[in-house]
Amino acid sequence: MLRSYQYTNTSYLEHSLHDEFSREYEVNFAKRFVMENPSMKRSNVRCPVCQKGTGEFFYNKWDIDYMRCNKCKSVFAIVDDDALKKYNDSPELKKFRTEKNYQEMASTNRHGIWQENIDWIMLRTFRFCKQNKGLAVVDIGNRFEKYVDMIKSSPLCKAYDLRKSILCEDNLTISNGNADLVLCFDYMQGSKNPEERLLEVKKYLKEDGLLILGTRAGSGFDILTLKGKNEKIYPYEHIMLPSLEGLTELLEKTGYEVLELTTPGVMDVKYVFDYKDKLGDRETFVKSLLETGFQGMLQEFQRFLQKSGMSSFVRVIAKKGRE
Amino acid sequence: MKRFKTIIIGMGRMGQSRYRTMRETGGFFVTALCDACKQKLNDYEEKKYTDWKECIDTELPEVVVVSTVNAVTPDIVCYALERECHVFAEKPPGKTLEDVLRIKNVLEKFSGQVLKFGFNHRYHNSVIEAKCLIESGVLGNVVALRGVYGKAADLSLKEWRNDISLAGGGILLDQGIHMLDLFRYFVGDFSEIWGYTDRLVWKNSAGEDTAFATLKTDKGQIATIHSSAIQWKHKFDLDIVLTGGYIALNGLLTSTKSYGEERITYYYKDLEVKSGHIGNPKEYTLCFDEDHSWNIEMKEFYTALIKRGEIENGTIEDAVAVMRMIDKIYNS
Repeated sequence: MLRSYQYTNTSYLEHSLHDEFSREYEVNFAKRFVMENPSMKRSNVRCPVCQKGTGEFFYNKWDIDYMRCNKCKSVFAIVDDDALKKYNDSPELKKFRTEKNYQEMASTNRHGIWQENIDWIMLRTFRFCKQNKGLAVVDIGNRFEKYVDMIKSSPLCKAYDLRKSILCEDNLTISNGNADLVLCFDYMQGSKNPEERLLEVKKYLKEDGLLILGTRAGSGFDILTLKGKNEKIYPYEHIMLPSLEGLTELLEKTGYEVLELTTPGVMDVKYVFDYKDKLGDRETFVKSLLETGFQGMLQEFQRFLQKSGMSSFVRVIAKKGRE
Repeated sequence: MKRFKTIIIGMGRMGQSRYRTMRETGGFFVTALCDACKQKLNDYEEKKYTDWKECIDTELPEVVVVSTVNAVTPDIVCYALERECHVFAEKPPGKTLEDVLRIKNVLEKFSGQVLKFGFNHRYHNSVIEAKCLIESGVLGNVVALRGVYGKAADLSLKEWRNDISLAGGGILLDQGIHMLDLFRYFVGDFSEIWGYTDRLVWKNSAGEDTAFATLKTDKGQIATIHSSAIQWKHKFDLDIVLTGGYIALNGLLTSTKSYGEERITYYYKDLEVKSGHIGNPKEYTLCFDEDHSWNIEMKEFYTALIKRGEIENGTIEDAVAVMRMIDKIYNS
């Protein structure tokens, strides 16, 4: 396995991926939904990522328990199937997220990042497949119209299927076993059963096809530091936060060969910085760093997190193994 | 898995490294080791020889690994090829251009044999990534290369590298050869070469030959190299300027970690200042914490043996071309 680290020279301390109105609406909706649709509390839950360890109580958010695996250190929420399904199918949330205003704001804030991501996908696809044009691409869970258009119209795609998206019913032009590339961003974090999702994705891929997966990681700086105070991580939107170790193990178990694993996240320090006043006494070092650190220093700290695999945004490139 | 009966001639640092890699790769069955210095063989269980001819003639191996001093490399390679052995030999392929041309002549007569030279840098992660970046075309076409490869060497030591009769050249032939090979790997052959070599500090040591050279391809791509044994610190830097961006390779992951962390950084041309900082485009860096180069190199050799196929890297053509470049620099 090639394990590499990627980091950029840009400071995101003044940056936000979300517009405040949309973010507030989504958080408030989720909070109200969780209060109206609570989940049962359970203990001795097996880790859904490594399936070896047991979840130990980590923190509670809106009366939902988040556990941390005592083996692979993945973080996961204890949620009921019915409540989760109801949340994912919620017409109100779907309506809000598909509205023109939401889509336009997302496009304004994220256009640059999307373009950068497409450039990166093209580069890494070339790196591992020796071709990056005219591919059959399945995109899972993408909920941004503009981003879909950008991917679709890039030289990357000969055929493009969008699946499991709020934007449309599943496209099924690429038959199972024929996708060169599956893009799977922010899809795993809303799943109770990541193994099932990876096996499902594997069906789409041809032999040696590539999976590019992006998700929030439970081993990341902002998640471990802020715990329940993290306003970016909440039920039932984020219920599965695998650690790098757990994710690698799960991918290998489900028949993938991990080619590259990076944590190129840029927002960890910014997220913790925004809530530094809420940090408890136990986080003295972090609090002190954030209160006294000048911008260049914090930027360097973010870079350290990226390089050390400690950012909470993880990107994996894996190849479907031969049966 | 087919295992090839193998002998290793020369059990210095490189021979030991090849020995480990061949055992890890699994496709080679090392039956004997040879070194003129008997003590170097003490820790091994394989049959031991001090005479390389006797080793080849007695063992009748399928594969001969040549990790000897430059002066004897061509003799052993030619002898092994003539006995229909496949050969893996370290760089440089001899002391001079004539040496490698002699090998080429023999190989032409024994074209069924596989011959590979150890231009190992091509298999380093940063180099693989750079090659991929260039071939993908995302940064445009290469227009210029600038390489610095230096080390902190004590050239007063009595070792074969400082003995011109055994080494044939100094730091340029020993280490700079890798940088020149990478230049060719990235842009192809050079048609014009101007060089300057001198002993700037170690006036009486052949090992220094601090080299500066400028090279140009038919397409007008320019490369410069500074190969130095008087860097006083191990250093590997290669800058690649392209029409739409830039690539920098810094450091090289080695067993001693003395060349620092291996990194590749690239950025796109950003004259519209999308990054928000004039003259500071957004950079992307990959750092590597594992060196698989030895294994990849040996696996490629093994694959060629199994398939009786072409060698991809470290061919006789690569060896001749790079020795021609060195010859031109030394004789400028």
